[in-house]
Amino acid sequence: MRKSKLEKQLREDIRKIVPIEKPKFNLEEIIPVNEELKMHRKTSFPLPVLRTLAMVMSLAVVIILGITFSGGFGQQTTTTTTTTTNTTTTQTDTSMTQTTIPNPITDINAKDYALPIITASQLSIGFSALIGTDLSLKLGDGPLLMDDYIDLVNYYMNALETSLSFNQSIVTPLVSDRIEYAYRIQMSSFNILNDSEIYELYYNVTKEDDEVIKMQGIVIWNDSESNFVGEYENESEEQKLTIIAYQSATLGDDYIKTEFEIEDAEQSYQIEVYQAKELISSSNIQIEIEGDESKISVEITDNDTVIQFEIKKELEDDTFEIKVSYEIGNLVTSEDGEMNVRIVYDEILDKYYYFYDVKSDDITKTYQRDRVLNSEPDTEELNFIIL
Amino acid sequence: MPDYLELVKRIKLRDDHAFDILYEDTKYSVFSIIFAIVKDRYVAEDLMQDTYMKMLQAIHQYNGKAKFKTWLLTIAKNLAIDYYRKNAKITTIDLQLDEYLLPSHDDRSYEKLESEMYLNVLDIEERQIVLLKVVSELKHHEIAKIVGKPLGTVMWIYNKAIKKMQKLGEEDSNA
Repeated sequence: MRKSKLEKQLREDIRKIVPIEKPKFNLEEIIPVNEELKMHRKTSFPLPVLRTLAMVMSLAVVIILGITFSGGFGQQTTTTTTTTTNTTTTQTDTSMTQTTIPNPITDINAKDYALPIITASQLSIGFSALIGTDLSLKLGDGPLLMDDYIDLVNYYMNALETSLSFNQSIVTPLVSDRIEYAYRIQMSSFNILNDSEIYELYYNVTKEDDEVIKMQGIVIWNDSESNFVGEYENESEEQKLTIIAYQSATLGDDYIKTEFEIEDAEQSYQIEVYQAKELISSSNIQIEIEGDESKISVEITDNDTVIQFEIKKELEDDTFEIKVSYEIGNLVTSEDGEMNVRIVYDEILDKYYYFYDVKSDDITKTYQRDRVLNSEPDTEELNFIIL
Repeated sequence: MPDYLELVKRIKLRDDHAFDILYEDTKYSVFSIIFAIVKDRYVAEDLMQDTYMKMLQAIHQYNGKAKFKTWLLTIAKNLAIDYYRKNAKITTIDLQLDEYLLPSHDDRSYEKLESEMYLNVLDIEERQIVLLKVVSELKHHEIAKIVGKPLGTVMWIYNKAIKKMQKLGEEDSNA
């Protein structure tokens, strides 16, 4: 069972049996009187004001899937804002049933479902990917353990901002020019060095039953190809996509498995790396978006080392703040800390940066990293500084 | 998160509403740490009540040096450990004695939770850490202070426990 699902089940089951109401104690009888502490008793305790949840839909909010059958081979419905124009394609195809099978990648929000395929394939191909250049977590000798992971945090910081500010499509359905594959899409993404990259997916789909669709195809980046097989499930409350990406001609002992789920306002990825069928590394990423607030939680486990961090964009006193909390540890060493994030604009270079002000125990330091979005954040909203 | 120092001040003045707030904020943690040790929900309920009783009786002794939650959970943990030790010594089968030990279980309905199957494969330490993390949603470094272990160790134990439970789930589905 996926880790987050197991955690959720445990939480729900155990919370069910916790007594809801407090014990009915008579405090007058139990608490002894302390003459020194008598003070004027207030009639109410100031509670923090509950935030009103806004119902603003961002571009990253999940579109509820209604499976409909596409009207013809090559006609693809998409929710992206820009599409290529070729809407009719005639292809000789022996499996006419494919014309009526919904394409899980383009019939719904393509970005959401293409990304996990790209992710699994990126890792399989072996270059900089969603969880870093090296899947093994090595703890270095810097004054802070975070020194070795700030690029990873920065990657997700960019992902958080970018995912919430899509002004352009990053997924484009195209006509397949490979006869063995029915569908093709092109997707732009960026790697941990914030360099933009283009990927192409070619794939076929087959329908297992009303709830399950299987996929099989390839991902191409530069000259590298990675194979993948996948399964898409649509249940009443959640949608799940499982992708297994591999480099060999057929699925063998070395592969990357990615599970991606969408449930309400929450998206989660679980990425597992297998070598010789043994799990050597795993990552869990959760993205929550509620109104104007959002959060990415990341946990990466590699043998005995664990890094967890959470990036939150929250409304505090009518101003948005971005905060990061983290924990890093293994049996030998550990560290936890907090960061405030500032977006800084360099007028001379015409460039934006993130400044991470970290505090861990008695150590404070600031990291400066590149920001992908080269647009001004809403200065009323974010903690924004111009250099 | 409520201001515990302020809450404690009010509880010392027997403010029932302040106790309401405190209970709401701490009930999952208190139950988790007890349940992890005794593994019986009804015993955990009773010990939870005892914990809050003891907390109220000792409220004037709380001096604010340690975090309130840590102080409260230490009371809970100690009560659970005392119960566990007392009952672990009893090995003879004596129906009358068993009735004394488990007086009210017979008249309470018991619906087995699937999660109990998972928790049963863990040792006490693993259960504590898992429940405090998952049910109370505490951070690892908060749990580390409560259980008195280094942060890295707590993170490692938590992940090991998750893997154990996941493995059980796989074996179960393959069976």
